[in-house]
Amino acid sequence: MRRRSRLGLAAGIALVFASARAEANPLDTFGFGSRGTAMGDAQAADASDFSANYYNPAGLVHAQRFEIAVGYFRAEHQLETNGRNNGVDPVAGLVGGLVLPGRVFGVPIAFGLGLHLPDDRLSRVRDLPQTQPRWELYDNRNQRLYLAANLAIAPWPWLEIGGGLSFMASTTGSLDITGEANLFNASQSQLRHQVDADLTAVRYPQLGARVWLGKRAALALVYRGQFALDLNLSARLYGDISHLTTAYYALKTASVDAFLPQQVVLGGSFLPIDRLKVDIDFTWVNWSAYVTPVANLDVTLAIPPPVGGWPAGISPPSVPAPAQVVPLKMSDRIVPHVGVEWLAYERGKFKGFVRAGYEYQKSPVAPQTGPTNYVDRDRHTAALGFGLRVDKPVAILSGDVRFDVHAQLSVLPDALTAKVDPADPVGDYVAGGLIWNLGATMLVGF
Amino acid sequence: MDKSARAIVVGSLLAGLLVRCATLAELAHGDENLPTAGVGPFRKLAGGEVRGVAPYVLDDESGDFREPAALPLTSGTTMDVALYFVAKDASGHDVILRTRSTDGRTFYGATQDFGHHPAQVLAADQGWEGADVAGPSALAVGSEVWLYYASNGSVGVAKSPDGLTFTKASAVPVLAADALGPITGPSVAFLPDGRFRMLFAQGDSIYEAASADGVSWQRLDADPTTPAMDPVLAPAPPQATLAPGEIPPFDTLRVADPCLLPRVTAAGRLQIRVLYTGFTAGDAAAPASAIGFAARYGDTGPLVRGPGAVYAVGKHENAPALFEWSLAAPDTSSDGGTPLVGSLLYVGQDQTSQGSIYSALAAGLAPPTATLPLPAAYPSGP
Amino acid sequence: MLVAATTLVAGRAAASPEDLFGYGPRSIASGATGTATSSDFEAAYTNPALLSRIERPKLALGMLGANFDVHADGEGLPGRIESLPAHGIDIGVDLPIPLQGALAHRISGALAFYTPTDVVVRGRILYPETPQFPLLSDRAQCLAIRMGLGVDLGYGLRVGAGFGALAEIVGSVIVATDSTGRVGSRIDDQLVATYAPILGASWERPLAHGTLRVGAVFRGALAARFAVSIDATKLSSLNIPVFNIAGLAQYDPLQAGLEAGWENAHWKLAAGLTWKHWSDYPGPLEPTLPCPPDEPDCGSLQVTRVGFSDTVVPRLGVERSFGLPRGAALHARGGYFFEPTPVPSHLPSSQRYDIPTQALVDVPTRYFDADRHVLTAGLGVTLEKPLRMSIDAFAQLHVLQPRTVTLDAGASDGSASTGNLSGTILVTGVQLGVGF
Repeated sequence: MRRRSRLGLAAGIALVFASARAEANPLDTFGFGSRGTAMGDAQAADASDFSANYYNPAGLVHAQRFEIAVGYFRAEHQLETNGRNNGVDPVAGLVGGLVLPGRVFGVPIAFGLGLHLPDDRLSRVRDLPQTQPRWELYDNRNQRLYLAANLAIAPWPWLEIGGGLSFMASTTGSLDITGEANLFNASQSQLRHQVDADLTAVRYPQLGARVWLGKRAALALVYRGQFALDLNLSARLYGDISHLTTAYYALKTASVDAFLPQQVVLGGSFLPIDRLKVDIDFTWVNWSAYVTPVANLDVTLAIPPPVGGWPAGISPPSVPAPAQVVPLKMSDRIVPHVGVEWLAYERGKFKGFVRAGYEYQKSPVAPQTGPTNYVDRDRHTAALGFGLRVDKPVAILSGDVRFDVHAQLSVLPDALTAKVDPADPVGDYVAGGLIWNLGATMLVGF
Repeated sequence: MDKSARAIVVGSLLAGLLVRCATLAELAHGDENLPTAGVGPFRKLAGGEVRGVAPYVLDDESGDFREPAALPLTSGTTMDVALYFVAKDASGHDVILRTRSTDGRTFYGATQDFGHHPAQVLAADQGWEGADVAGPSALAVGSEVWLYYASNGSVGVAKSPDGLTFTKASAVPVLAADALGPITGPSVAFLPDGRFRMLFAQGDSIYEAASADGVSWQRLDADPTTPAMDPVLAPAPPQATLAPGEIPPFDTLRVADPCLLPRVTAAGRLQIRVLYTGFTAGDAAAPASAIGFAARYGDTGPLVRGPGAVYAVGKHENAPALFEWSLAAPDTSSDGGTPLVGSLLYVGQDQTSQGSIYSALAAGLAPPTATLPLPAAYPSGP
Repeated sequence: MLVAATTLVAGRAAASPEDLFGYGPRSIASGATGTATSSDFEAAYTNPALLSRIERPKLALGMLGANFDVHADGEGLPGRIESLPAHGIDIGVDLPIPLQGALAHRISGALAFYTPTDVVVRGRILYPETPQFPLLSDRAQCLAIRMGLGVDLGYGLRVGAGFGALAEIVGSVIVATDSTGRVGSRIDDQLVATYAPILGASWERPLAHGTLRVGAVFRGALAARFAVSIDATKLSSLNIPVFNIAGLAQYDPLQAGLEAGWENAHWKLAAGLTWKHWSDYPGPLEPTLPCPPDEPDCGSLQVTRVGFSDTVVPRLGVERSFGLPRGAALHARGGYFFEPTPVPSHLPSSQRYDIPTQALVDVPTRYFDADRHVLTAGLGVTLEKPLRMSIDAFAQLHVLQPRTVTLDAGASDGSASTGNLSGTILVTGVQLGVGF
């Protein structure tokens, strides 16, 4: 272990642009890196490789050498209502990162980068009519990029501190459409548009600390700030309606998507015997702050009737009434995670590990007995994994190479949603399902 | 560069080929096979989904087709469906015809099915009947098809071994008119325990009757606490205050043409679903109408109406009938592989031809986001 | 090594600041050269082959600000064109890959980011008659992400590759009323990555007590599109079309650069040319109702395309280093580059629908740009003890060469008019780097 010296740098620690681990993002649901996923995501007090960018940035400073990791995972949803698969999109993509340890004035520090790059898109905003059933925590919120850059420092041998800021992008835009709309042959309308749109940066903090209780135990505390993707669009259409009259349409939509509530994680890592590690985390998630993901829509319409009245077959439109948004109620939750790692094989430069983990999340969504249908169920997640570590496998590498694989199964037991209103257009339904997550990660230490 | 180094470089390059790197923007899913009460909202069938002029499935200016009733031919596991409906015969009297389709929208004897015509299955010939028969409601009872109908303000029933050749079950109506007025639009269905249940229109409201054998009927009072016979659904009260732009209720004048659709929900409870025609004041000759939905949990009691019309196209649509199916046949899937669970709504609505307006049968589809494949060939018989 | 991220004035960030100004304090201060002379994370943009010169890890954090003072004078023109300043943070990471044996000290990588302080991408796609300098301030409002890897093959030869990334928006908005007349919407928008490769090579040999190096770089075109369809066909009973709200929010043309440089312990000299393929630029606007491919004259209003021309940018840069005690050094930098404009001096008219006359009318296309003379300067200090760090400051002054352009339909009577263009851009910045 490196020598460490006391240095009162705490006040000088700068919070740089580090990505915080975001709740309601794919890594919250599926983990980061095969080792952490296989150990039930109970990594706040244990992670010290690139995955610490997500689980606890303080752990970055525990890395012994420069490391680069790359991996891939794919999670398939088999979520059903009334026994039929709803086709929730899979979550798949590259995971990777690096840890760059060093010393400044003799004090150990580390810089880390973590990345999850989805196959299909960087992020997706999806606002649906509020009565349409959807798997609220799985349908869209996991379809996004995760990018983390963190800094960590160990001012004393027993204390590691890390932190950073995350950023994502939300959208604000306005557009104008002017010209002539041809009601009788819409494709021959003479319309043009201009756009003024910004993807604005959204930042949220993450802080973590780890305390070593000797060489066999550690405790950790992590805080992750709240985050939401805003989508605000306004549109204005002003034009001639087939030489009959003029029309003015103004439309404003404002919504919040991919809301990530703040969290606090308390974790512990223990080495009861040399070959066995046990990790336990408890995560408090502030779901009660969840923002209803329904767009607030405001429409203005002014179409004076033409001289002589409207032609046959064309009825004058009226200004639509605004939607009445029914709030989505959620409750705070404490999510327990537990993971074990056993050094099953050790010979020469080879080490083999077997890992297992479990976590349980009780659904935070209030029963959907009214007109809304934010479908969610309790989730039991079990995971299994294997790892192989090879020290100095080739002459050009002075460090080690690690291969880890994982298989994770989440079970959402079927449960009934019974509607109060007999004339509800959706009606009663049973919902539940499975989520499979398979992946592998390779890490190279230099 | 030695072998080890080459291996590392090649391995890194190969790893890079496995990812698509957030570039694809594929369309979102997650809205397949969503739960639904099966009663809309409906959208009109589109041009590529019917052989004639969408959304019409049966259209004959001289026939003036109305009041459809759907009878699934294979328990809803295929899209085979028979349609009974009212038409004018050569003498101008209302009779009941039958036709059939294998895809729910391409019917034998439709206008483009040259040389073929739907089969006439019922006409007025009993002493208690007037000159017309109307309001068909078809029900599979064992190996027979029972056809309930309205005539001269009362309800009769005819039975058939094949759905085409019917014999009137008795010389008297099974449910006669009373002080509330003539009965129109009967709709009969089985409850899950095998009992018969009927909804019908009388006056400006919809009432209910029950039977153990389908022949002897007793009226049911929706609210036994009052001395009068209460309907299960009455016209909606006019709304005192409306939000700007909010559409007023569509059924403040009269409710009629019930289509009774009992089911057991996923919660194991009996749900009585009803599609109906709601009328509101339009011009004096032709009140405006739309199709609405009302329901209740349990065996008896008033119906609770839904938040708005489930089908409204401004063509005096009326007399809804519903065909629901749930199957895995690939020729009905909306995306080339996923089993489609859906509903087709049949209504009578205005059609125009060379300035004249007459009634034709149109169809709507739920869920509205689904699309049907190209229409099948015409069946070989009614 | 930690750098205080102090108060940064909120402002727009450059979308393609590296194409406008260069990237990295040393390159920006030295005439935006670097294809033959860069030696840190800057090379992720200037020439990834030179990343192989990185030997020690470093993290750098800096700030950049740019103020635009551009003018268009003439009939119907406002004089000063309002342009928001650009402010942002740039972050660089030097990553030597510590392999052993034959690959020792041969492979290094770097990460180079530029992030606006509050805007990640800005897409302003304006009506063509709105006076605008589309290749200047609005292009400077974008996140830039670059990564690269360089390899020293020996015998003076280095090669490298990397990529740049932007984000573009695609999606749909459906607005409709339900059966009760209440309006609802369905929004499905995705942010998708778009990438462009960057390839580099260099060759060097000792010369005159220093090193002569020739560098070449190729950068693929990098474009970010905004494409959202708006379907309000079910909002009312009117038969209105689906709107294709689309355009090109950000664009860096395909380019190739060649540079020669000479350096020793005290001097760095560089001279180069960069060719930019602007003739491929389709313009920012797309039609609101595109015609089907098999019906190009469908009758809907289409967009006038302004033909841009390829350009060649000459660059000069010089750096003088002075030794200081304890291994420190002071570096003075200067340079010049000339950025020709790809925009023609005769701009064809566009069309719009005039509601009072209910007819299509011609309007001027006011896309302005002018040749730029850019003077650059900077100072830097590198320290070795007690901490390996660097502090660099830089400034650029862009002077738009006064220019007269002809605008079809620019006059109030619909005939052609002229516009006189001028202006300046001032860019300043500072960066702190810490090695560890």
